[in-house]
Amino acid sequence: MVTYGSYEEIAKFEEVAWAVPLSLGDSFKGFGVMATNEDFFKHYKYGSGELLEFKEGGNFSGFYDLIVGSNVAKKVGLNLSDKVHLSHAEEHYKHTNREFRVSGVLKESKTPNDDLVFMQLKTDEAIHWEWQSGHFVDMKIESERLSHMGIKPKHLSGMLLGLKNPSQILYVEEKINRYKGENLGAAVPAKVLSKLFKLMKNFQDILFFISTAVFITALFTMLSSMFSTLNERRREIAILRSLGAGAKIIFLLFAAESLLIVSSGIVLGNTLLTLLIVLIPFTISISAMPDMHEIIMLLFMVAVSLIAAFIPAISSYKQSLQDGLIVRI
Amino acid sequence: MITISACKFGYEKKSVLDIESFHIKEGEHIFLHGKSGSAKSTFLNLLCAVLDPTFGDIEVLGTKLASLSSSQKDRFRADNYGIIFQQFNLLPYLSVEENISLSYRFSKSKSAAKEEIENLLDSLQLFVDLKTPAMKLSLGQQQRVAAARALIGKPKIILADEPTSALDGDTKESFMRVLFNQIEAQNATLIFVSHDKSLASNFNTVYDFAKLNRAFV
Repeated sequence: MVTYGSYEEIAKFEEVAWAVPLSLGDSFKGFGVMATNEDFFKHYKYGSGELLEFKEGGNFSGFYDLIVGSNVAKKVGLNLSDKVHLSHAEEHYKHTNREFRVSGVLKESKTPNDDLVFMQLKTDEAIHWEWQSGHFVDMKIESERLSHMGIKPKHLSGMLLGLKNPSQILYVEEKINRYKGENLGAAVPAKVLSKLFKLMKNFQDILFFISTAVFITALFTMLSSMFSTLNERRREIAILRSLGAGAKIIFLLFAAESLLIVSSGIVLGNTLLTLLIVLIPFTISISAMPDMHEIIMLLFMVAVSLIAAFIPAISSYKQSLQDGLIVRI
Repeated sequence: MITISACKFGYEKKSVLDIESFHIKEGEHIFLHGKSGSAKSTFLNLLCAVLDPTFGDIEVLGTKLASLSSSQKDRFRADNYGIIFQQFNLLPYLSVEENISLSYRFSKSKSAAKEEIENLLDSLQLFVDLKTPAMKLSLGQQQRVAAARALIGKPKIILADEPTSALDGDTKESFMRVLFNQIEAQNATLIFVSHDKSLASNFNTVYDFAKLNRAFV
C-alpha cells in the first residue's frame, strides 16, 4: 500500500519523468480490475518497447469508462459501448448501482494486460465511498452527481515510475527504499529479471550440454552412414575417376553430402522452432530468428561437419587408389 | 602413339607386371587376351595413368605420363581416353544423357551438343529416350550407353575391359559390330582386353598378355 500523498510526492521527484498510479481490488467475472489513469496507456511499454494498442475505442473519457483486455473481451463477449457492472472483491458483492461503459478494447499483447479490466482511479475511489468497513451503505447518490464530487483517492496498491535518465535508476530505487513518509519498496524490473535469469542459467547450461551431445551423436551417425556406404560407392568413384575426376572432386562430393545433411537439419530445426513459437502462445516474447551467437554456433556446426566429412573422403580416396579403375567386388 | 619401355610394377618386392617394350600405333585395334589374375587390370590402370609404374616409362601421344602431376593426369585422362568397363559403367540414378555428358564434365577439350549424343546413340543402334534413368535399361543397352560415353567427344584412345563378358551371344555380336563401326568412323585407337578368344577375329593385332607380361613367365 502506498498513500496517495506519497504517490504525489514521489511523482514530483526531479528524476521522475512520469508516474502512473495502480490500485487493485475489484473484479469482473473472475478477471481482475485495475484502477489507474489515462497515463497508463501513454507510458506503459512491454516487449521491445511497444505501447498497449486499442483494437476498438480509446483511452478513458467518461467517468464510468472501462477498458478491457483482449482475453476479457473474447471470453466474456464484450464489445465497445457495452454496459456492465463490477464486483467488489468477490462476485456476490456487486456494485449494482453503478453502471460502466466499455470505452476501449485492447489488442492482444500476450502480456497479463490481456486478462485485465481497467478503470479510472478516481472512479474506483468514488464507488467505494459508499462502502464502510466492508459493508455497503446506500447513500442514494446519483451516479452523475458522484462523478462530480471530486473524491480523492487515499491509498494505492503501487505505482509505475518512468525516469528522465535511466542511469539514475539505482539512485531512485535507494531514494524510495529510504523514503521517510512511509515504508516503501522499489523494484527495478531489469534487476528482478536478471535474478530470474540467473536462476535459469543453470537450466540453460544443462540444455546447452544436451544439445551439444545431440549434435555430436548426429555427427557420428552421419559419419557412420557415410562409412557404411563406402563400399557401394567404390564403383561410382571408379567411374568418376575413369572420366578424369581427381581427388578434389571426391572430396567435394563428400563435403557436399555433409553440407546438404547439416543444412537441411538446420533448416528443419529452425522451421519447427518457428512453428512452435508461432503456434504456442507464450506470455513472454521469444524471437524466432537466431541471434548472432546462435548464428555463430550454427556456422560452427556446419564447419565441424565439413571437416568431419574429410574422414570418409580420405578413406574413399585411398580405396580408389588401391582399386584403380577396375573394381571387382 | 603409345610406347611402353622397360616398365615394371609391383607391390612391395613382388613384381606383378614387367613389360620389356610395347608399341601401339595410331588407329590400331589391339586385342589383349589373358586369364584373370594376369595383371590385365594393372596394365590398364598404368595405361590410363591411374597407377604409376615402379620402374620404366609410358609415353602416350608424345607425353611422358610420369612427368604429369596427379591433377594433370586426371585432365589428360579426361581429354584423351574413353573407357568401357565389364559392367556397372553407369551411375544408375542419372539419365542416359547425364551419364554420357559426364564424359566432358572433367575435360576442357571434349564437348558435345545434344544432337551429337543422339547421332552417336543412333549409330550405336540404341534407341531410347535420353531422359531414361540408367537403371531402367537392359545390360546390353547399358553397355551401349557406356560405349557412347567413351566415344563422345572423339577421344584418341578407347580402352575396353571385357565390355562384352556380361552380354549373351547375339547382344555380344551386335555390340561388337556397332562399337567397331563407330571406332573406325572416329579413327580411334582401340585397346580391347578380354579372355574370350572368339572375339579376336575382329582385330588386326592380337597379343597374349601372358607372353607380354614377363612377371608371370
